[in-house]
Amino acid sequence: MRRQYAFLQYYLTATIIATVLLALSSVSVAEATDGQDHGSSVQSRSNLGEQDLHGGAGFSAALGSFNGLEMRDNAIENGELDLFRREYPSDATSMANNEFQPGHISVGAVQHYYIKKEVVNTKSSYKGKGLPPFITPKGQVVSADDWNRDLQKRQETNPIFISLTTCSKPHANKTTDPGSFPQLKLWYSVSDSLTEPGPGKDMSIQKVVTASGGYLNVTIFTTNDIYLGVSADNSSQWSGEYDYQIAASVDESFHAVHDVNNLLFVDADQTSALLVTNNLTESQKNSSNYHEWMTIKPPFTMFAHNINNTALVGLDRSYCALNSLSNLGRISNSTEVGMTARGLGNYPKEQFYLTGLSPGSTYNGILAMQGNGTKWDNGIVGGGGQVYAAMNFTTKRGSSSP
Amino acid sequence: MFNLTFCSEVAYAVPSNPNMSKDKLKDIYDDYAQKYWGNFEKSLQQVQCNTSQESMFSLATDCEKCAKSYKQWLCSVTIPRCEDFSNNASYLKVRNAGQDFINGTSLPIDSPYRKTAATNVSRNSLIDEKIKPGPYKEVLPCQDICHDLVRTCPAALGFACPEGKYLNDSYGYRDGDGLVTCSYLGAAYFLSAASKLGVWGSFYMLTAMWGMWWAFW
Repeated sequence: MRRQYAFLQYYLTATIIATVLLALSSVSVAEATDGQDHGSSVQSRSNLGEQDLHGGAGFSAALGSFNGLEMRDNAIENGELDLFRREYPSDATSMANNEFQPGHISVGAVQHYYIKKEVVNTKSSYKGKGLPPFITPKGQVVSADDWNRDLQKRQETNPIFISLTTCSKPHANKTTDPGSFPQLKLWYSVSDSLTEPGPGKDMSIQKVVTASGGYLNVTIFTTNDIYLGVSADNSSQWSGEYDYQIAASVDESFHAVHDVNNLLFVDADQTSALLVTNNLTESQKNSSNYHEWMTIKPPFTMFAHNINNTALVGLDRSYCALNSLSNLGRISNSTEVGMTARGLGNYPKEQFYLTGLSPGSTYNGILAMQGNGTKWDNGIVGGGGQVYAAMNFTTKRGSSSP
Repeated sequence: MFNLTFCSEVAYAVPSNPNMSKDKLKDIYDDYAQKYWGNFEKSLQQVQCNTSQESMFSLATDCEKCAKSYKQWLCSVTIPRCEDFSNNASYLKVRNAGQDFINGTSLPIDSPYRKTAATNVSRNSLIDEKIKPGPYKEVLPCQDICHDLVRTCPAALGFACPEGKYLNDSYGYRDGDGLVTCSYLGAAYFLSAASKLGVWGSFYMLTAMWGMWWAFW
C-alpha cells in the first residue's frame, strides 16, 4: 500500500502541474492511477475506489498546494472543495452508480433526474468473477472483459451508461392496439444551462431517446454533471401511470438488451417444451473450462408467454416487465433448468424444460439473465438484468382425430 | 422425451400414450434400443478392430467411428420423432394408420393410409403393440444417418441403405430453412441461423455499436 501511495503522490504532482498550466478540471487522480491498478488485488482496488469517490480530489489538492498548503498523503481524503456552487433542480432525483430508481409517471408528465459529477467520475467497480469465458475448439478465449478493457483505455472521458426499462404500461381508455401506448422518452442535456431537459425545451442543448419494446439506453461521455428528463407523451387513448426503472452506471449498462437470438427450440409435445441456449463454450471435454460450465449454477433464465396474451406487447425488451407480466413467469425451478452437453457438438449449454403449456399454442420464448448471471439487484454491475431477442415455439395439438 | 440412459442424445417428441407414465415410456424405448446394441457389439467383436494397419478393415475409418454411427442410426430409427397427425407438412410420413386414435375414433376403413404397410403400421411393431399411440406422423430420420453408417462400418456387417422409393419411405432430407424436416440427434429449430452468432456474439455487436458511438460523438 505504501508504495502505491508514493506513486499516487507523483501522479498528484503531475496532476497539479497539468491542472495549473492547462486549468483543466477533467484530469482526475482516478484516471492517473489507472495504469497502476492493473494486476493489483481486489483489496487495493477497493481502497483506491474509496478515494475516487471524492471525485474532485485532484483539483482540490491542486488548489491546496497553490495556496501554499502542505501536501500530505491524506490530502486526498480531506473533503472536496467545490469551486462552483452547483444547483440541482429541486424536484429532480439524484442518481447513484449502479442503483436503479423505481419511477411512476403519468401519461403526459415529465420527471427529472441528475447525476452528480462525483458519481460520473467514479472509477469502475470490481465486477465480480463473472461467467467463465467462451473457448473455441482451437483454444481461443473469447471473454466479455477483453474488449471492455480496451474500450475503457480508448475513451478520454468516462462513458456513463443510462438505461431505462418500462415495467408496466398505462390503461387503455378503449379497445385499442395493445402496443400503441406512447413509449417513454429519455431527454438529456448537453449544456449546463439546461438542468431540466424535456419536451418543449431548446433542442440544440438537449437530446432525446425513445424506448422500444419498453427499453432504452444511452451512453454519455462526460466528466460533468448529467441532467436527465423522463417523459410520457400525451395520449387520448391511454391514461394512468407507467412504472419504470432508471439507472446509471460507469461500468456497463445496468439493464441490458442483446438483440440476438440465443435460444433454440428442440421440440415440444402437447404440454411441455424443451429449449436450449447456444453452446456456451466449445472447449475440450477434459478441460477445466468445460467442467466449469457444466457445473456452474445455470446463469440464464427465460420467460415464456402465450402470444395471444397482449400484456407484454410493447414491453418485451424490459426485464422488469417480463418478470411481472409474462404468462409462465420466470423459469427458475431447478428441475426445469440445468446444464447439458446434449445436442450440437456435445458442448455445454443451458436447457429449459417448460411444463404446463397449453396444447396447440404458440409461445414467445425470451432468454434472459437475472442481473449479470451470478449476482443481481442494486449495487451490482449489470444488476438490472439482461434480455435477449424473443423467439417462437408451438406445442403439439395432440393426436386426437385427423 | 429426453434424459434417456442409453440413447442419451434423444430429445424430441415420440409416439406416446397418455395412459403411460413418462418413465415407463423412456424405459420401453431405451431398453429396446439397448437390446439391439448388444447384438451389434457382438457382431463388431468379430471384426478386427485393434490390429495393425495391414489387417484393419479400412484405413479411412475404425470400429469406434462405426459404433458411433450405429448408435446414432439405432436411436433415431427405433425412437421415431413424431408430429401431430393434423400437421400437413410434406416431409411427414403417416404411421400406424390402422390403429384407433387415443379417443377411440379411427381413420375410415378405405383410407389409403391403411392400404400400404409403410403407413398402416409403425417402423417397429413394438410401438404399436406396447405403446399404442394411435395414428401419428413421423419425422423420418435423415438419409445421411444411414449413409454414415454404411460408410463407416465394415462391409462384413452387411449394412446397406434402401434405394429409390424405399429410401424415401424410410428416410428424410435436411432442409436449409431451419425447420427440422428430418430427424437427427441434437436437432433444434433454426440452428444454423442462430449458431452463427454465439452467446458472445452479442458482445461483439455491442462493441461494434460502441465503436459507432465513439466515432460519431
